Amino acid sequence: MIQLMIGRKLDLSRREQAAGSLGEVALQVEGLSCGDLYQDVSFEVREGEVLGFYGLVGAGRTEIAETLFGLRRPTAGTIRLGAEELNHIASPATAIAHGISLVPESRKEQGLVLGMNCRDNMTLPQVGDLTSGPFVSDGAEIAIFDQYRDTLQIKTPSWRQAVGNLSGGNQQKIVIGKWLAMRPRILIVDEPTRGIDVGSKAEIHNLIRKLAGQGYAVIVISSEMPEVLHVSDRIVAMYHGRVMRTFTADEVTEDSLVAAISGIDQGRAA
Amino acid sequence: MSDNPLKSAMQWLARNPIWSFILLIFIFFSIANPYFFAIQNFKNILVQTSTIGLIALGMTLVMINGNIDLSVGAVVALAASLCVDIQDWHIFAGWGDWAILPAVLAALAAGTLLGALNGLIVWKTGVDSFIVTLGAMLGVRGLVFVYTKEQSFFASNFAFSDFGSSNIGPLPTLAVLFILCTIVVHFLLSHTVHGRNIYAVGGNRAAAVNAGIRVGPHMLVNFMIVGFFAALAGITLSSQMGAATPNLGTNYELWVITSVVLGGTKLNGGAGDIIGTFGGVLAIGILRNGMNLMQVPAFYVLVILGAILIAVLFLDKQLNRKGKEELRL
Repeated sequence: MIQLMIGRKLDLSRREQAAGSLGEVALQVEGLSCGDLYQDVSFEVREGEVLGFYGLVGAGRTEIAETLFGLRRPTAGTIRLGAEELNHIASPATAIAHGISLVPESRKEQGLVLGMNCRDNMTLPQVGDLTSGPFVSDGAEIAIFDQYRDTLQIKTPSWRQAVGNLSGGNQQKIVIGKWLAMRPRILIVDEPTRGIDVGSKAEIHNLIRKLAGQGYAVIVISSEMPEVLHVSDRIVAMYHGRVMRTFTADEVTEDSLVAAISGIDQGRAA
Repeated sequence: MSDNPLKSAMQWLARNPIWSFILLIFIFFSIANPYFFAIQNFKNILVQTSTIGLIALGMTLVMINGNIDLSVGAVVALAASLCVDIQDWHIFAGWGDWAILPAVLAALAAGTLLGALNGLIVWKTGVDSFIVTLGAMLGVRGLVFVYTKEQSFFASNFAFSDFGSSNIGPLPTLAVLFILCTIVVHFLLSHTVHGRNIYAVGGNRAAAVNAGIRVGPHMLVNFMIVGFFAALAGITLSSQMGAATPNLGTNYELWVITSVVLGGTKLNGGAGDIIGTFGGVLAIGILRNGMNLMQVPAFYVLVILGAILIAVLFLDKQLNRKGKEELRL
């Protein structure tokens, strides 16, 4: 029945499992709630691990990311970052200081200043540290841009190009580069491949795996099942603001995942 | 290759039509009026421009931020009244010319504080800056009338008005002050972190928040800067006349906004620069001076300036279209 709903067969082109190479717990969330948006959410992410969040739109995944990034105040619960335990994160500036980065859901509305050039967009969160005397140091900024343009293979004629003129995939890479340049401990990516071409999608999926391999703790929020299945080590399935079940990559099947996020599983999860 | 510098110059002019416009009116007035093309008149234009120009520097920052400050005209009157009144206070009677110093500082502090108040209200309430500063414009003007009891003040110390008409080398002091401030604000906007953040907040506020910029305090600083410059303009204006009236600075907010918009700053924020604003205030200054010399009646001057504002912005839109195939909405 569920296979009929999806309309295609399970195709797991799964990467080789990197089990055993996980580091310490980078982020542990317990009993986190935010009014009606989500309730009693608990999970943990380790360094070197990709944690996928899967669910329908409105299941509360983006809201959890916004809470972790200091854009929303939780009403209950604790957030443990390494050894530090917090009730909330006051602002994005605080989140950034704690080594959390968020690649937001909508790159045009939240991620980029479209009229600004590529370099300035990429260095925006850290431009305060790139000064010589009272002025911004052009050289330091260009060095960072060049480095991440090469790493992420961003295609742009020059750093002077306004970001609004780039393709969707390249825009998304600018946003990702912006946050990688901050060298975060925890990278949250919300719908990383929405509205970009197939080639760039694959590149971004590989990049996420590579980042985990380098020891980043990565949280991937996605509404695309193949994406979640492909990149995640573990998958949190959400339904109506609640965590229904957490799967490991070995035990997850499309059927069980769809069952979990549509609430069919409710009896068993509770 | 020979047409390359010419081509890039033409492109620059197409992006900044204000400078072609200045050239045009400059040539027009030079031919049309025998008194226009004279060194002394150019000095006059710079001095006349400096008042609006100083405020426009701060206003550019606030407008690129996506905000606006309508209270600057009233702040001009308040700063001028404070400055002229305080230097004659009895407690400073023995200070001689030094009595001007606390008066100037008090006026600057008042302007900066009122700017901070505007910024604080915009930050904490989230009410649109247009509404907040509209209220401030009425309220501060009221304060001026309360403070002055509807009287004009005259500076008894001539050193104050001498400053307004003094020269540094070949240039009027006020013109030098304006040009120095222009250079400082230009570097603030184009080469500092604060300047970068001004464009980011105005271009996309959500993205600026996402990048960890504390948008509220950031906007507060810009309102303080425009308040400071409005107060400075009030001081220089009163030193030109050696007096302050409670009606000083009426409609200045409109002149300032017109200049800034003429200079290419977008009302929605995110775009604009100080060189453009400098061109904008210069254009307004030349037009007012030229028409004045040609004895165009004051009311016609307003009509012509209004028409020119709309025409320049229309031209700007045409020149910067992305071709005929652009989506028409």
